[in-house]
Amino acid sequence: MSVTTSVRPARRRLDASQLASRYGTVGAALLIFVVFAVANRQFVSANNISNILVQISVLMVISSGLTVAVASGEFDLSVGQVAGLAGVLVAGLMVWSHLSIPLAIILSLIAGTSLGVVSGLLVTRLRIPSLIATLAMGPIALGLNYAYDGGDSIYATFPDAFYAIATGRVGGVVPVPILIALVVVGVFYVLVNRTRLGRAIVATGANLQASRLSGIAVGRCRLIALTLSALGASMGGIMLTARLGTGQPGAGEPYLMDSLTAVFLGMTAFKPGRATVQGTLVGVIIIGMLDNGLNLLGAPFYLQNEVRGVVMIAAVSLAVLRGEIRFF
Amino acid sequence: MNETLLQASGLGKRFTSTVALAGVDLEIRAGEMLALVGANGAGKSTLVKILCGAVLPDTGEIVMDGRPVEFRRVADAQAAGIAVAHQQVAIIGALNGAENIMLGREPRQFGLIDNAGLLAAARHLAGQFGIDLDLSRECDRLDLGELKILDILKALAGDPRILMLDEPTASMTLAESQRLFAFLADLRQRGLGIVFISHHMNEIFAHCDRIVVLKDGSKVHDGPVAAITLPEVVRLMVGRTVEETDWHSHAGAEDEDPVLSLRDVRVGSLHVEALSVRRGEVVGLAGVLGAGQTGLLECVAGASRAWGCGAARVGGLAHLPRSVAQAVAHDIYLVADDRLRKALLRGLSIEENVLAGSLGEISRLGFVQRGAALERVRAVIDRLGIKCSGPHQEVLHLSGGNQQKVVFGRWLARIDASSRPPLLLLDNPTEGVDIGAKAELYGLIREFARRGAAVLIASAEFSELIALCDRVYCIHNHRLDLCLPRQALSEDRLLLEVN
Repeated sequence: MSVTTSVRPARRRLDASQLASRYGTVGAALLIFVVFAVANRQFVSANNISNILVQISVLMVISSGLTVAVASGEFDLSVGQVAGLAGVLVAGLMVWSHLSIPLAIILSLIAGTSLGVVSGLLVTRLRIPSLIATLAMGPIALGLNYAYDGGDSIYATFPDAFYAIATGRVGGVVPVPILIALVVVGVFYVLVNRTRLGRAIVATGANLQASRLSGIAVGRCRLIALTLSALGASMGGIMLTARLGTGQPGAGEPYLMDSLTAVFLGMTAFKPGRATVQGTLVGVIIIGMLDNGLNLLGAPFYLQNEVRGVVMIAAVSLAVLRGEIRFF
Repeated sequence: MNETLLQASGLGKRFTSTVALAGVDLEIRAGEMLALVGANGAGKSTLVKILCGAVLPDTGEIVMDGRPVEFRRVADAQAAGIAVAHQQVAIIGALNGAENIMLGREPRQFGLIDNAGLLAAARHLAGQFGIDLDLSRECDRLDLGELKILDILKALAGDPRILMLDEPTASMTLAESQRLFAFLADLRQRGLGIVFISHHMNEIFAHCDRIVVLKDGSKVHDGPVAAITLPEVVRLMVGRTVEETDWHSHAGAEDEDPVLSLRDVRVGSLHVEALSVRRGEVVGLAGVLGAGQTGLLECVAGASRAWGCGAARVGGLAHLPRSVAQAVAHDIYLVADDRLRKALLRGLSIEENVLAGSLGEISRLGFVQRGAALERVRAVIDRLGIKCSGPHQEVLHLSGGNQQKVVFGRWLARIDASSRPPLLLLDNPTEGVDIGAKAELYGLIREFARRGAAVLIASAEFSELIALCDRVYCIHNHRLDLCLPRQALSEDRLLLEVN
């Protein structure tokens, strides 16, 4: 029996504690913004804000995909390496195979995403926990990556249009990567919140057995969620290559930790305990501001990592203390 | 009069927006079995949690041996001689009985666990209470009744003076619970103060000395069991009397094709010779716990496979459903037992829970039609009288009875939209639900039948089957062959047929 059973109709007005739990993380993001703005005027310049958004666009795309996997109750520990693989593939296909940009992009997306399908099949057919299946898929993706490029970066001049993914501006104003990230976030948001598939994925994540007994195709939901996660990672990896200007085998790796951090931070916002696309967006923004702000203040490079870790522990421990998040 | 072991006065506890306990006095006496009853959300759990040190009260004090005591943590209460056996047995399957009993109190030699001493100590303890169990066996091979007794023995290892039992007989067979009560009677004889929490009124009237009734966080009655009747207790708990409504059958004509008919079906170790349910009929499945009721219902609902199947007609299907989705598409709905594990989408809202069974119906081109969805949920909330702040309230914040209504609501949302008579498969549908909500769920099941649903219901409470069913199939010795008509139903008869 739960002790917090409340049978009386609750008041319409949200009380302070509810507000704090739903919007605390957003509040923290605003606070970080204000602190950096006061510390350094440059932080709030239009140029810098645009800079931050461009910097976080790749993470936004990767994290949105990962959010769907976490919402379905699965982990995806292969996003970093899948992003890395898609990144070198798109470079190699353009430079070595002389494929057109769209074809190179599509083939890299298919390759990266198919690893998600494999993970999904391992999870749903062989009943391997996703934590393990995707942990194994990471090195497999990395191995394929090295097999393709011999472990060396792919240096070459890409077609101009490809660089536009990272540096172009629509109408000379809005940076293309921001636009791509916003579209991806929007699509994933609608998918999770407004579609039948999204509802089924969220239900599966909340209670696999109950969802199965409700007639939801839980296997398909988990397979699709892991596939979408790999799709997000692959898109992020391609954007990354466009930004770096080279296909670097190890470029995707750091994005695993960053995207997990973003999703967990996001789980403390809006709907505490649940992975939501909007929550993850807040998480990504917090990470982006911390990196950029500390940089501007001339903080030593290692401080970025320390602060990120501390912020994550603070946010999650607050949520755990309030009983809003339970892990496993 | 027995010696007072513990005197609590004015215990109060608030959780953010809810008053869980509003100043309750409670006396626990040596050699007395005290029943603590109340509807879900009445404050029983909170009271027990305060007394065992798991929750700090906001107000009030606890006096033991003439001195005020304060339990800041569970260890404090244990040190004061208070032990609790929670509803879920806290027995670790991979350890043997002795290791479980002595968990945390293992005798040691040179800092290492003395296994021989451990077994001896556990056997001594069990022997003291006349318990004859093989304590060297791994616990995952024991049945629930044995586990419960081990769990209580484990509580007794700390040599407590007060033993609190939360729903000890939930999901126990009759033989198991009889054994438990014999054990408890012995403990009472030895001067232990026993606090017994149960939804099973017949157990309370058969075994307890005194009864305390809680309602909405306050104590509304405290007196000897002998001086009160069941209807009075029920009235105190729910604030009104539960009317035993006139029962009458809604079953369709005898010659009409049944909605469900099984012949020669094997599910697990259960063999079903013949079973049928007609439109408008409520048919029961009686058996001891684990006799295969759950397996049979899940098989008919498409959630598991039969081992062998002679002939089956289920809804419009000429075979057993191949998946839950196929079953649902043919208006075959399962209300699973164990709602927290198998029915509720924890952490999600009422809306998301109710709609989980009809995602296809509320979507167009893959997109959820939010207006229609919300309308559907509001209708379910109104129809079932679910007490909540709105469709977006989290389902775990509801009381047990309301949670179960949400589970029913998942299918109600479909049934109302369909013209075919559905087949409802109910597995212990009122488990852990208070008596008021139980009556409402009975009303709902009858209403389904009146409107043409075929209902197959398994219940651990035979009184439930008697209250609801046209006929009851009895499972005895892995076989389901006997079918008792309503006129032949009585708790004694059913117990006789299944044991």
